[in-house]
Amino acid sequence: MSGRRILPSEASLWPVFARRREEIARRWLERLYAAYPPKAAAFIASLADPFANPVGDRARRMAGAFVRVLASPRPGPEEREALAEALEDWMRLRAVQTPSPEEAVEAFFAMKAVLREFVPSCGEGGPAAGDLREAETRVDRVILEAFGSYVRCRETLLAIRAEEAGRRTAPVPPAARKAGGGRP
Amino acid sequence: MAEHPLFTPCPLAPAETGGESRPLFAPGSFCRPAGKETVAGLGLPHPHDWNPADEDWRLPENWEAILKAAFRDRLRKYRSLRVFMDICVRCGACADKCHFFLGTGDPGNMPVLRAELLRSVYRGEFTVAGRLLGKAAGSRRLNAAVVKEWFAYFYQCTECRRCALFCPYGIDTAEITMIARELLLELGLGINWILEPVANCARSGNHLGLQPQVFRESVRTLCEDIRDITGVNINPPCDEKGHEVLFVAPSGDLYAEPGIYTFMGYLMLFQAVGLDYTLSTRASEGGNFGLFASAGLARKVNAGIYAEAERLGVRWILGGECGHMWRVAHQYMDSMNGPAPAGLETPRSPVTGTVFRHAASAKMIHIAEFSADLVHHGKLRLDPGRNESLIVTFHDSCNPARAMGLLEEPRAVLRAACTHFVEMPENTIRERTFCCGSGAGLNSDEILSLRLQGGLPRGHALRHVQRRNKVNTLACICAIDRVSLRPLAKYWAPGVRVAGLHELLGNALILPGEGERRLNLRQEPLPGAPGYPAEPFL
Ligand code: SF4
Ligand code: SF4
Repeated sequence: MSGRRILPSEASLWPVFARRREEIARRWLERLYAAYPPKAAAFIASLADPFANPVGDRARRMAGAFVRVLASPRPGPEEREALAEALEDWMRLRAVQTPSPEEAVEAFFAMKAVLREFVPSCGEGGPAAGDLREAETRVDRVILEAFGSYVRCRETLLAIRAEEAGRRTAPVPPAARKAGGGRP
Repeated sequence: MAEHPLFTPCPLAPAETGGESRPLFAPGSFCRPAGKETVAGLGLPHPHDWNPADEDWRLPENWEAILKAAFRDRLRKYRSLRVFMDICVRCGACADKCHFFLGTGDPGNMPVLRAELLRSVYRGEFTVAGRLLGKAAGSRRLNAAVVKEWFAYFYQCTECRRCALFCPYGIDTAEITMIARELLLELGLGINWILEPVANCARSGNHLGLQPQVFRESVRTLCEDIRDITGVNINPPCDEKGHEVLFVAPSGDLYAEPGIYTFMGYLMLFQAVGLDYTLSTRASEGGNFGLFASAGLARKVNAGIYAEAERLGVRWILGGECGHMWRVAHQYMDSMNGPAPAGLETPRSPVTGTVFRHAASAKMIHIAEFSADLVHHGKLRLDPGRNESLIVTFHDSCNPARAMGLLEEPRAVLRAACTHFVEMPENTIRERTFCCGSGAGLNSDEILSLRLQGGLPRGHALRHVQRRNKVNTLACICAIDRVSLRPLAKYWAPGVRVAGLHELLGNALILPGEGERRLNLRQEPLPGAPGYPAEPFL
């Protein structure tokens, strides 16, 4: 990685991450897109219109919000909310696209490797090393949230499935409707 | 010759995607097949029990000969099919326009590749160059794996025609899907979700198999609900001769929420304008699942409508809120089962005098046209304030929007009946609307997550207006939508609920002689009425 260089041991990592936010997001997006077949990934990565390319839109918002939170020394409520929303949207998508939770959260683990690509080598004990540990802890938290979000979406899916199955097998008989049964 | 696009290998030919597409028959990725009895009951060839997940599909011994003969027959019968097989230049303009591709990320769902599944066999079996050049010309010979791919991908197409809108040559992949499904039926391969409703239609006149007394009872119950809400008694004629109009609704509107509220809206509208109409227990199905199986079954299911119009001696036919009914009525009905019976006339609104000349041949119009005309002429007394709590957006159903351009009519009605109406983003509405992901007989529970993936582009746009404009109601004019958009909204935009256009119109409609209205058609308190919640209905 061309960005690797020695960082003065007293320097912080946050300005580095902030300056290279877009590059970090781009690198991580490549990992996200790797879940898709190459022909689909090429399309998802290239088309900018959010409504013509909803997967690409969700992926870009996910990466943007993720990196913003990682690149700030103290992420504020706005950044956290944007991340929560983007994560929810992304995992909602992945929860119908794959029945495997491992596959759904796999790309999030890759963020640590991506971050390290952008970290100038720094000593063990300096502030930069502390910043890196902090950033990695944030990644861990996001992984946890992603997993939780996946599980919640799968539960929603099950609930919808059960409700639909009930509607199919039990037509609302007129008398039950009169009694208020079957109303949403 | 080798430079002609027909004879160059498709850059996206299925073989080229090797390993990119998902396994064809993973659990939850396919619909339950129609069983032996259902297939036999419909008089279709080679009834047998089989399972897509099995290696052996128990095809008839001479299946290749059957399939080739059937394919040849369709090429002879439908000039459009031969043209569609020949003229694709693989420009890829359609590739990213399919909701199933956008939602699944499976290249096999690119329309060009979907069509290529059939086209490659056409080349391999029916063109000299294809036979000579083989793979180099992107051609394949028939084999059992090909049949499996057909079943997998032609049952992941909702025949929505969005791809056709973007094809510079007008190639209609939906029609290619229709033919492919017909060919599969020749081998006894169909899905239960489509063929069972068709069988029900043959037995009792509607998809749900509702017997005449159940049909009548359901209508009576809805009339009681209307009386409870408005104080007005409605007693719709049923199976009566001598009325002006035969009204045919999709049977789903008599079965479950939210369709039943839409049906109540129809009845209230007819009462408000004093329409001289009859319902019919014989023509109790406006929808046509036959369309999703074969031209022959579509014709059979549809035949009852003209027959009943003739028997009852009506002058024209009015259809309820249905999507594919509209496509059948406007594109196939008069050639399939026409000409229309001699007694039928070009539909003319008895209230406004408007003559619906575009229906001069079919003699049937969609209720959204009828209502929009009434609104346009100021013939309805409306109180849109009763819909005050609803922030409404409109989902253009594929068939009304793309098959006949029914775009402004529902919007005109919504604007008159509701106080808050917002559009979803431009490239997701009108002709460019995204499918619900469950049309063409794919609204079965087995494939719910596939349907939700197909519904992603619609759900994504809906979520956008929910966040931006606080939209809480998704209106539509299709019975399949009323059923399938419910889970779609629950998943992609929780908190948005689905309503038929005429439910919203029924809420706003001031009926002659009505009492004070406190409830909407769902029997929830109206804005300002006692019990109206602070956070309405979400
Ligand atoms: S847009 Fe038309 S010509 Fe181009 S690849 Fe698609 S079907 Fe073929
Ligand atoms: S008709 Fe609709 S579902 Fe079928 S390939 Fe075209 S866009 Fe996809």
